[in-house]
Formats: sequence, C-alpha cells, structure tokens
Amino acid sequence: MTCHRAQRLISVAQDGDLSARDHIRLERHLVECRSCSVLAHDLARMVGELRATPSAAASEAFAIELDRRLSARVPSRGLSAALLPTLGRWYRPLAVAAGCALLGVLTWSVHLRASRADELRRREVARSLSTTGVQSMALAASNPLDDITVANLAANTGAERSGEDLL
Amino acid sequence: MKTFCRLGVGQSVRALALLALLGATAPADGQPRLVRAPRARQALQRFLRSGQTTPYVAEQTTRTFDGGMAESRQILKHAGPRRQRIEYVAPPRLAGEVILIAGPRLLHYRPRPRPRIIEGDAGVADLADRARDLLASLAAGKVRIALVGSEVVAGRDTDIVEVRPGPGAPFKRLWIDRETGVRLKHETVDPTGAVIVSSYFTKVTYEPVFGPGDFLPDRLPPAPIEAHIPSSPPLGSVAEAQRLAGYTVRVPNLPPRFVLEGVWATGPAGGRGVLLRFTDGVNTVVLGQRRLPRLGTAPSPADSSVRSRRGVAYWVSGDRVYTLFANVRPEVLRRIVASLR
Repeated sequence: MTCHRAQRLISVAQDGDLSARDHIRLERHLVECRSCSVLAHDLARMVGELRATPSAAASEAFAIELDRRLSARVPSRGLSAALLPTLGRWYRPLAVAAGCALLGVLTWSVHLRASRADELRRREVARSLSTTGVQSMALAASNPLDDITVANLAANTGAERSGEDLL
Repeated sequence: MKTFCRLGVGQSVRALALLALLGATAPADGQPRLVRAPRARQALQRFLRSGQTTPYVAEQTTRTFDGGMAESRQILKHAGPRRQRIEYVAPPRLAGEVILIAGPRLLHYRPRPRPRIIEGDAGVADLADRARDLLASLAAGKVRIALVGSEVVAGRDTDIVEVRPGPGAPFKRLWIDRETGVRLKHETVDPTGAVIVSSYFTKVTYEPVFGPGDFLPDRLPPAPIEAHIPSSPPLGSVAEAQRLAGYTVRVPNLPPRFVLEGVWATGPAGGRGVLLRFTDGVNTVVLGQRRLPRLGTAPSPADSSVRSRRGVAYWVSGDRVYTLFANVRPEVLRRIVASLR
C-alpha cells in the first residue's frame, strides 16, 4: 500500500467507514511506516480531543446585550489631550518614577535572561536523558544479557531527577 | 525449523551462522573452552536459539538495589524477536506505562505527567549480532560461563548460568527454562557478590493468546509522539560522529576490558547528540553527550556535581551535558567523569 492511499484510509477509518479488508491492509502499512503511523496517532488524538470538547451556545439575550454595548461604546479621548494640562506640576515626580521603572525593567531583564538560560539548559539535560534512556532501552531489547525493564527504571529515575537544580 | 519460519531471511541466515558458532569454539590454547562446561553451553544454546523466539505471556518483577530498592511489576507479552509489549502494573507512578517493540520501532507510552509517546529506534542493534558477539567473546576466553545450580522459577525447572567478563567486574546470572530456553530470571551481581539488579517471572504461559492490537503502534493510547530516533545508522567511528555533530566528541576512560561497540548521532543538525556504546562482553555502558546551547551574554554554567542513582548518571562539564546508563561501581563512575572533565 502506498503512503498516499494509507493517509486517505486513515481519514476514512476515523469516520468508521473502513472495510475489514482495508482495515487489515492499513494496519500492516502502519506497522512498517513511521510517518503514516505518526499521522494516524495525531489524527486520532485530535479527533478525540475535539469530541471531548463541550459545545456552548450563546443565548439570544446575551447576543442582544452584546450588540447594545458595542453600539453604545464612545470613542475615548486622546492620551495627550487628557494629560498635557496637568503634566507641568507632576513633571519631576513622573521623571523619577520613570527612571526607577526603567532600572527595575533592566534588572528584571538580566534576571530573566539568566533564568531563561538555566531553564533552557535544564531542558537540554532532560532531552539528553530522554534520548539516552530510550536508546538504552532499545539496546537492552537487542542484547540477550540485558533487561529492558532495568533500563526503564534507570530512565525513569533520571527523568524524575532532571528537575533538580543541576546548574 | 519452526523457529526459523518466524524470522525473515536475513535473520534466519544470521541465526544459522550463530548456531554454527555455537558448535565450533576452539580458543588459542587448543582446548575447547565451552566443552569444559557442556551443560552451561547447552543451556546457553537453548536460551539463544529457542528462548528468543518462543511466544509467551509472563508477569515479571524488576528490582534495582542501587541507592535504595526500587521495584516495578510488568506484564510481558513476547511474540518473538522485535514483537514485544511490556505493560506496567506497579508501582503507581509507572502503572499504565507501555513499552512496545514493533519491528524497528520502540515506543514508550508514558501517561504522566502528561500523556506522551517517546519513540526510539529498536533497529539500532541486532539480537543475532549481540548473540554472535557473546559467543565470540566466549570463544576468545574474554567471557566465561558456568552452570552454578538449578532452581524452580514461576513453577518451571531452570538451569542457573553465570556469565562473567573477567575478575573484578560485575557479572550476570541467568535462570534458563530447561524446556523452552526462555530466561525466567536475571541478575546483575557486583564483584563483591551483592545483587545490583534483578528481574524474575512470577508466572508464565507458553500458549499465549494475544489481542489483535497488542503489537500495533497505532493501538497505543493516543498521545503526541516525541521521536528520539538516531538520525544516522550506526556510524563507523567517533570521527564520523564528530563530523555530523560539529564538535569534538569526548571519549571516556573506561577499564581496559571495555571496547567501543557502537556510535550513533541523534537529533537534527545544529543540536545533535552523540551516543557511544561500550561493552566488556557482559556489561554495557551507554554514554550520551550533547552540546549546551549558547545563550548570548548569559554566563557559562559551572561544572555541576554528578547525579547518580539506579544505573543512570548525568552531569554538566564545560559546554556539554553528559548522560551515562550503566551499572558501574562508584570508582569506575568517578574515573569516567574525571576523564570527561
């Protein structure tokens, strides 16, 4: 079966309209083809989530009230027109406040950057653990002297502990 | 012959070569080493020939003893090589997890903390190749086997075979079903005699009834797939991995009996990791390394301490994060870490 046909059948299968024969042929293809299998997974998940989402209908009263409020909305005055007459008296305090705010933003920005760096590095550690863990399991599965469940216990321990403050 | 009918042509050829090796093992000293332990050899033959292809369903308990005991229980469904499903039933934090090996794919469904499927590549190594390596090590005298007893496990008579890579190294004990060759119990033992890890069947059925979707990847619970598949076939050398990764791959200093057996690059270009697999014929060390991303003016991280427990260790050194999967003694781990600092 070609991927093109398989992808068409995946969609049909979601609607429950697939014949038994096509179903068997599709399953055989999905075992062999990673990309179609991923597509089938994603589609099944999406359909499942959509089906699980409760639908909500707006009442007629709500629609009328919304329409009334939108119609009654008055355009606001411009900022400069509102503030300029009083700016002279508040000029100094406003300048000090603005300076403080700017300093705060700069400090916060430096802190944020350091936090982001730590967070990204933690993510890299977790990703490395995932990659090495799953491949250790794969290698264990192909080694008569290894046990895949032992590798999984190690991988789980690593995944749990990767949240610790490593850096 | 039934065994070979289950396998592909390539696998059958490899399996036949394996059997030829099993029958002809004459080391340099002129005395066939395996003949010294004929019953151990017979048990190993059963394990490598029919033990891998016999279908069964079993209940298994796995225990690790490093850093406090951890235990998990699973249901194993084994339909043959590359057709295996492991369903976790305990402890609660692992219950619901499923590991599925379907052909070249290894899928690990984890319902917590958010449902996801982690995909690896079960085709990274070939069972027949690993079995051949084991036999070659036996023939060369690098690995020794001995029948050390018998025991009833899960209501079945077993032979206990010890496989040792050499003095001072951890070794394995295998409990092999006398009739079917299936491994019913497995232990990794420290040179001092302490058990490091253990797994054993509590129940086994050799006439299993599998569900229609037991070995189909798309019958796993729906969840996003995170693929951690090597982006290359096994590479010929570390230098080749360096070329793909774009940075110098560090090679650890391991005890002399360990040899590099496989190199893989993982992930997309620009963020590639490299996996190195070492073995002493019995024990395995898998080392992953990945370069940390550069983050503009952010300071470089200081070297971290090593986190190590239950066969996994990880640490940051320089611009790298290292992950190590191996049951090694603390002094070996220290030596590995020091050689990568």
